[in-house]
Amino acid sequence: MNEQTKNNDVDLEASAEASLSAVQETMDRFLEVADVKSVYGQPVEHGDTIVIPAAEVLCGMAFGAGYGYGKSNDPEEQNQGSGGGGGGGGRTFSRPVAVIIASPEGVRIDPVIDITKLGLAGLTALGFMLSVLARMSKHSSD
Amino acid sequence: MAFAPLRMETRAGKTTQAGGRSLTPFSQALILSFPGMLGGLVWNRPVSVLVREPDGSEIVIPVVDRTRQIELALLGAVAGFSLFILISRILLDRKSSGELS
Repeated sequence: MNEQTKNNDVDLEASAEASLSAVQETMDRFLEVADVKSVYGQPVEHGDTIVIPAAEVLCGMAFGAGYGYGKSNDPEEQNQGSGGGGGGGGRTFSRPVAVIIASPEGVRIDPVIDITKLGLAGLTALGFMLSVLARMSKHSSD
Repeated sequence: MAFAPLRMETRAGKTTQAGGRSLTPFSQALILSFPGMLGGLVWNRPVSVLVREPDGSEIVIPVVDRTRQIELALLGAVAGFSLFILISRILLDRKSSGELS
């Protein structure tokens, strides 16, 4: 193994370690989503009343990496090399669910209703039902 | 501890004092991860709040996700409607072919 190849291997190992460290850090932050702190917000005081917002959080991500070595099949050539690569992606969704209100009268939990989401779901459901009805009436007339 | 690709964890949050009461929120996380793979899925949602009154009594108030409930009701309505249409169509087909009198 010549000096150039050794240097390449050292560079590759260093970059692989740096990549793994970055992935590990991201994974640690990803698992923090499972903590209760990501669901309940900081309590907000307003006079005698304390308000705590609550939300649901959905987070998904994946990583992949690979590397390899190769050399020329020609015995007269000394060319050889190595390479590696990796990638990943993820997404986080968050939606408010409820608000906890603690006042001198008592504690109550008020739901947060996402009208936009429900409107879209209702329109989709209505569209689906109308298309089923249209198919049904077409089938009956045939 | 054995590796579990799918696990559910219920965790308690920091207790907050409100007047004489103390409030402890709880959340439930569904964690999905695959062996040999880097990544996964975490779904975390609020489930309940434990309220300790000044007299020592405790009440658990569930956190209801009204949006999810309405979405599930809509899904159920669509599924019921589709099933009704499917059954009506089968019955009509049988009637028209003379299987049913």
